[in-house]
Amino acid sequence: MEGGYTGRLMVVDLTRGEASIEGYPEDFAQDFLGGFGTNNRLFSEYSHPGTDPLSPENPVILGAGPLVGTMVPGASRFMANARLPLTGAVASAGGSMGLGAHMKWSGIDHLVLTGRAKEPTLIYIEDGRVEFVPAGLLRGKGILETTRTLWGSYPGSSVLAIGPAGENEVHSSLAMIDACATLGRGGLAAVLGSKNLKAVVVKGGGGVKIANPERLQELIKGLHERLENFDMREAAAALGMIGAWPMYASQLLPYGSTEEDLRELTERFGPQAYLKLKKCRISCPSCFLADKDELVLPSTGESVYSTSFLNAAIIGCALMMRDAEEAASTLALLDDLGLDFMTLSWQAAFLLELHEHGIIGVKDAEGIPLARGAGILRELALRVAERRGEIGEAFARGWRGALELFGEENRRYTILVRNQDCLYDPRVSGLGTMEFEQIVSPRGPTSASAGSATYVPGLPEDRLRRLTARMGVGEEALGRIFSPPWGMNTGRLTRYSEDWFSLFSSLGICNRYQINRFYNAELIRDLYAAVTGVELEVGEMMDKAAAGWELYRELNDREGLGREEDLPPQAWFSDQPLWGRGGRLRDYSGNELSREDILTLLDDYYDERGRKHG
Amino acid sequence: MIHSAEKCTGCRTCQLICSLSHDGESNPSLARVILHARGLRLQAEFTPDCDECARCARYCPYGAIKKGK
Repeated sequence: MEGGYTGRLMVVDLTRGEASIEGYPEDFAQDFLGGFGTNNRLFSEYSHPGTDPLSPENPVILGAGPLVGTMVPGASRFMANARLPLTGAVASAGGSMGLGAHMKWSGIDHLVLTGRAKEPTLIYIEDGRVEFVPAGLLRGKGILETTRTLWGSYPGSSVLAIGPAGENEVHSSLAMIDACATLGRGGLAAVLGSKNLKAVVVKGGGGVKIANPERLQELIKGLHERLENFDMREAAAALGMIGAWPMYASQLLPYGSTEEDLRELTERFGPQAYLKLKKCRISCPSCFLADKDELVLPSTGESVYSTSFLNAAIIGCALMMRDAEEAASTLALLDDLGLDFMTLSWQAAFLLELHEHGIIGVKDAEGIPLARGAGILRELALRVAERRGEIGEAFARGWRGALELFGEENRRYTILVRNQDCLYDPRVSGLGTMEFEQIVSPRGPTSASAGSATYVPGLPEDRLRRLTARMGVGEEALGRIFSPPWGMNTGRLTRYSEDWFSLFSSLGICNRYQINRFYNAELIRDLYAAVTGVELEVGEMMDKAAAGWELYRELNDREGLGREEDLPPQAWFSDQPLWGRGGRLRDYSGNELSREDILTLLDDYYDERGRKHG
Repeated sequence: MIHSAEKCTGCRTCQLICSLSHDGESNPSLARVILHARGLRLQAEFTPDCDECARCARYCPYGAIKKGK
C-alpha cells in the first residue's frame, strides 16, 4: 500500500529481554483495515484460548490504524488487545493521546508484548529501536509522577504507564497514556503489571507516508470548514464535554431528584464550577475539539490532568460530593492509582446499599466511611489499589471478589453484565445503542456503541434515520431498523453502531460522538483512499469493519463467552432505585419495555448480525 | 509567525499541515515549526525555512498561531 500503513510490527519478549521488528502479512491489513481489526487478527495468531489473563502467555497487542499520525481530525486512537482479568474476556480497548501517533512515526503499526520481565521494567522505543530499562525506582509510584519522570528522561515522548493498582494486579485497574487518557477498563494494567512492565515509552522521529497529499488536504479542509460552522463549537472549545451540561445533567441526577437538586448540582459541577478549576484544554494529536484538561485545585494550587471534567462531575453527582474541587481531586487520585473510576464508584455505591439495607454495619466496613461523599471512594480506592484489608483484597478481584465476600445473594444490589458494572442505564436515558450494547458486547459494558445518533436523547425518527444512513447502513437494513412495532429497533441498530466503532477504531479515528458526528462513510472511504491509495466501495469497507467485529466475537466465543452471557441486569426490571438509578425500563422514545421486549431485541440483534443463535 | 502557548492545546496540527503541504507526508520532524514539549504544554519555534505560508495559522483549531511579528 502506498501510504498509511508501515507494514511492520514489533514483537517484544519481556522474558528474554529481546525485541524484533518484522513485516506482517499484507492481508491482515487488507482484510481488517488495521488497528482494532488487525489487532484481533494478530491476537488470534499470538494467543491460545483458556490462557490465564495474568500469565506471561497472555499477549498484549497495541495497534495504530492507517490514519493515526496523520492530520485527519481525531485520528489518534489506538487499540490494545488482551484477555482481561475482571471478566475473562478478550478485550480490545481504545486509548488516545500521543502513543499511537508516536508508534506510527517510529515506523510500526503494531506492538506485541509477550512474556514476563524478571524485575520491574520499562521499554523505550525510538524509531524502531528498543531499550529495556530497569524500573524498580518507579515501583509504587503513581501514574502522574511516573509519567512526569519519564517525560524528563525522554523529552518529547508519549508515555503509557500503570500505577500501584496495576502493579498489584487489581482487576479494575487501567493504564493511562500521557497521564490523561485511560486505557483498558477491566484490568489491562493488571496484565501489564503481571508482566512486570511499568511503562511503554515511545518517541517517533519519522512520519506517515500519504498516497495522495493534495486530496487529503482538500478533504481535511472540508472537515475544518464543517467545524467552523458547528453551532456548538464555541461552547465545546471553551468547556469540552461539560459544554453540553444540560444534556448530561439529566442523566447524572440521582433518581427522584427535584429541580432544586438540579440547580444545586449544576452549581457544584456545572460549567461555572469547571471554569474555576480550568487551566487549559489538552488535545490528542490532530484533534480539533479538545476534551482533556489541565486543572488547578484552588485550595492547594496543585496541577492535575483530567480525562474530562465530565468524569469528575459523574463521580461528584453519583456520591454527592461537596464541590468540583473535591470531585476533581478524587478523580485525579483514582487516575494516579490507575483505577477505573466508574467501577470503584459503583463498588462504593454497593457498600452503601449493603449498609442502607442493614446487611453490613460500620464495623464490617473496616473503617471505610459508609456515607456519601468523597471519603468512601478515596478510602476504598487506596485499599483496593494496595489490596489492603479484607475488603481491599476482595474488591481488588473485581465484582466476583466483592460477591464472594458479601454473598452472591447480594448481587441484587449490583448492576452488572458479565461481572462488569454497567456504564449507562436505560431507565435513565432510554435504550439507545450504548445502553443495549452493554448486554451484547463480548467484553462487557463499554462505550463502543456511543458513536450512533442515540447518544443524543430525543431526536425525531427522520433525523435518526438520516444519521444512521451516514454510518454506511444500506436502504434494506434501514428498512428493518426503522419499522413497526418499534419505530427504531435498537437491537438491529446496535449491529451497525458496532461496525461503525470497528471502522473508526480500525482506521484510528476517535469514536466519541463529538468527533464522529463530523464524519460519514463516504468521507471516511475518501480519506482512506487519500492516505493509503486503496480505493474501496463503501459496502466493501463496511464489510471489512464488520469482519473485524465478527472476529472479536469469535475470539470470545472460543473462551466460552458467547450469547449465553448476554444477560440484562435484574435492576433494569425493578422499581427499586439502586446506585441512585431507578424508574421504568424504556426505549429511546420513552415507551416502557418488558424483559420479553429485551429478549426480542436480542434476537433481532443476532438476526441482523447474521447469527441465528449468537 | 507568532505562537500563543496559552491557547495551544498540543494537537500538533501546525506540524502536520506544514509537512503535509510542503513535503507530502505527515511528519512532524520535517515541519518548519518545532514544538518544544514541557509535559503536555508546547512552545513553538519557527525554523528559518518557514516561508510564512500561514497554513499552520489557518488550520490551528484553537487560534494559537497568527501571522505577524
